[in-house]
Amino acid sequence: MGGAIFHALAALSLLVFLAGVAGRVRFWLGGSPGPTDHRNRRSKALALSRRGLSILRPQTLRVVLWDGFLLRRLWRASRLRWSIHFSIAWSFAGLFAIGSLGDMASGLGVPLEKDDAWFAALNDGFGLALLAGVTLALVRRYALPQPHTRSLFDDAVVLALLALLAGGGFLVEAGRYLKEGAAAPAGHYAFLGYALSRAAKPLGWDWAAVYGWLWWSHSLLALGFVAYLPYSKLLHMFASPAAIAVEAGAETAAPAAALGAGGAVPMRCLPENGGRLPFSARQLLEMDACTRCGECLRACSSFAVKGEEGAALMGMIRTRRRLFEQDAPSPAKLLRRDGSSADEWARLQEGVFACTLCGRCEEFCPVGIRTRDLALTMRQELASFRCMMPANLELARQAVAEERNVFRFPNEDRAMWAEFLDDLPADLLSKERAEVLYFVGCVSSFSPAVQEIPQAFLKMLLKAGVDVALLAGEEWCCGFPLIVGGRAADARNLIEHNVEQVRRLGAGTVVFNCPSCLYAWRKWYPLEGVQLVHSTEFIRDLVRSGRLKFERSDLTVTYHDPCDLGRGLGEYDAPREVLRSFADGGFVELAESRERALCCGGGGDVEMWDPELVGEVNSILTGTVEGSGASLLVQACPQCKRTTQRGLEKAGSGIRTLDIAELALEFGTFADERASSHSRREEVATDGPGERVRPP
Amino acid sequence: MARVKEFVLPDDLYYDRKEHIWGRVEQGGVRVGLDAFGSCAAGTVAYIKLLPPGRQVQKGRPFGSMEAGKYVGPLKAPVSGTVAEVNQEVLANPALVNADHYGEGWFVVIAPSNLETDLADLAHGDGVQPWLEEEVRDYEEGGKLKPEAERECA
Repeated sequence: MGGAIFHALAALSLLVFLAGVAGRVRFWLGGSPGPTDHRNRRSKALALSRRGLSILRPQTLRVVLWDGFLLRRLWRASRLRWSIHFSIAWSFAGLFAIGSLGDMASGLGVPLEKDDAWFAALNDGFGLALLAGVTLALVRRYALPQPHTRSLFDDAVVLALLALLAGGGFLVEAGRYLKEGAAAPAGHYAFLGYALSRAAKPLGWDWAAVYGWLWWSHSLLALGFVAYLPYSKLLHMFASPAAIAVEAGAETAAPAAALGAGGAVPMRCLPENGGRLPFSARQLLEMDACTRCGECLRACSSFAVKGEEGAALMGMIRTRRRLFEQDAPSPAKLLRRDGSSADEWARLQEGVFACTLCGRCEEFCPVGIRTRDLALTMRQELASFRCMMPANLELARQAVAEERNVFRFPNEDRAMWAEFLDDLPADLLSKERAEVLYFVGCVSSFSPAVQEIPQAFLKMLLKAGVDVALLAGEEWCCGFPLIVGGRAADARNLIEHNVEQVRRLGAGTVVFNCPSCLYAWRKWYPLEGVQLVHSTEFIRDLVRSGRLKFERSDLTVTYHDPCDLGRGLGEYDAPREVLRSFADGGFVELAESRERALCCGGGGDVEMWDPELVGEVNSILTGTVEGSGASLLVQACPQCKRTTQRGLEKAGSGIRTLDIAELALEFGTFADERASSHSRREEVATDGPGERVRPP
Repeated sequence: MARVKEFVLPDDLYYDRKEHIWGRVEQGGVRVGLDAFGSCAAGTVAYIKLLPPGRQVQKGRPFGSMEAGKYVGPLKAPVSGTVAEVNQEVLANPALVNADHYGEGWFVVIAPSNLETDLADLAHGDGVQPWLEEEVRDYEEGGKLKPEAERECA
């Protein structure tokens, strides 16, 4: 009778579990298979199947093993957290295997006894590891919380359930030994349960009855736990490895597809989401994979300033998930006491647009969520689907529509910065053909704070003998501010125009001093056979080829990695190679550099949403710059320099900031200059300009 | 003298209604600066670039650019002509624009090429007060001019 009831309850628990999992899988599949827009179900199903099969590739399985099962990313982030997570996850899995599956095997006639030495030892070993992991988690979360620790009711429920299951397991085991009376032959292998039974024996209770109560309590708790699993944060047990697998096997979209196919994003925002989600299936899975560990809060400068988790990805995911739940038909709605949907959307907007999209949290996330892409899609949803584009971003959008730049500067005066230079080639702005196009970008072109950067880079290009052209008024915004502002559709005509200009010039190389422009071009521009080069790479190649040389400097120099160049495009080494050739031993790294470099605060259009936040985020960076002991800060991004030089001035710092192009121009000597100075010294006449130097 | 709230605009100057750039007709040229309202709306000026003397400028086209707390963009010439003089002090200390709008905070002197025609559509004399009233009202209604900003400017 008892057995039948247990089996009925187990079946019910399994059913609830499966219903929960099926619900989540259905939810994930509601997203698009990838960046490509699929117009019908068949195409979408095929794409999803391809993605599913890609997981079976060896390299994907390797990543899943290391990151999904052995928790490598968490190991790098925190040994303590890894120990907690590893012991809970694997001891739980072990207990489930030897408990449930062992029972099943025994029922099928496999000679397996709970009193077998190995079984008893494993059972107590896993139980002890689980208990230790839960205890450490409780201490970490409730006794010694970090500033980025956020605890919800669900966290307490999950930890309490795990503690009760682990502790209850030992009580059941002890009860069994007491009920059976005689000393078990392998009892000492069950080192905790057996010891507990010896300690409780003097109580002299009716152990058969006690065991019955304990067994049923423990079993019901275990079944309830299984049923609760897909509805709790424990869902990440499945979602996290799945997200890691999908990410490892992710397809790389063609640039044009990455923006969505024509018509995928409505040109005018819709009052409601129109039943469509801009999220990919992977992104919906990532939202469930989030363990709410708070690592992204630790990484986030906006969170450090505002103290609101909504500015970091964990908070954005929580808010968006609540909104998904509000949209879903669910009886739980009747019991919910959350704020109104409009308040939730406003909260989401507040956080999502306070994110600088620096991507630093991506380096910290233990489950490898592509945080920047996810935040970007949330912006896309708000700005393009829900009419929630911030007012200043809308002004910038209109400015780009009317003047082709975000500053509403008359675009025909885009090259005004060049008018300050003397001795420019007469045809610089009107060339019909050129080997190299210098795409200057809006910030460099229009912000007087950083106009020395394009001036220096252009002079450098000319000194290097590069056949370079500027587009002047025909250079249009690269589209980056619109895309990161959530209006990707509005960037399409800009992209088409700029691509057309490259083709018109027949340029084989486009050079940039702005990492955000370069990021946009590399990621979203459909250009084949054209080299896209950042100034750091260009200068590095000049140094390598010997055409640019530095006098060794005794300055102490440091470098700040721009988010879009470093984390965005993976270029960390080129600027360092240049700086080592300049300062050698005098080059010092910032405390947070390369993949973990701090954001300058100027990214992600935050300046249009919360200008004060930019300065406050920047003050964190300037603090580390001041702590580096350097007297010169070299940067490689006009927006970074714009915000940081202002931050250093505000802090009253004496540290000088230079863009790498300014550094090269001020401290470097070009091959032609060396040759001419040598010629002058030798008083050897030259008869005209030498052979033109090809771009590196 | 036109005055609305804390904003004072001398009515002997000529004002570009959209840009809040003023021009003072002097012997040898038109001295150009940013008026009190424009300075308040832009915030503290941090960086300025101005075309060097000798460069031609057209009315309504940039003679330089400015970056302030709430504005990054062009400085547009109220009259056409040639840049005759550049205020080096304001380049070295851009906050002069906020501190002394009509005095030390000027930008350039333009030797005009078409003065009478160019001045015709600028606000001047009795026309300054109603235009300023309208501007302040529009900004307040649009939520662009907040009381705390006004106090800061004052």
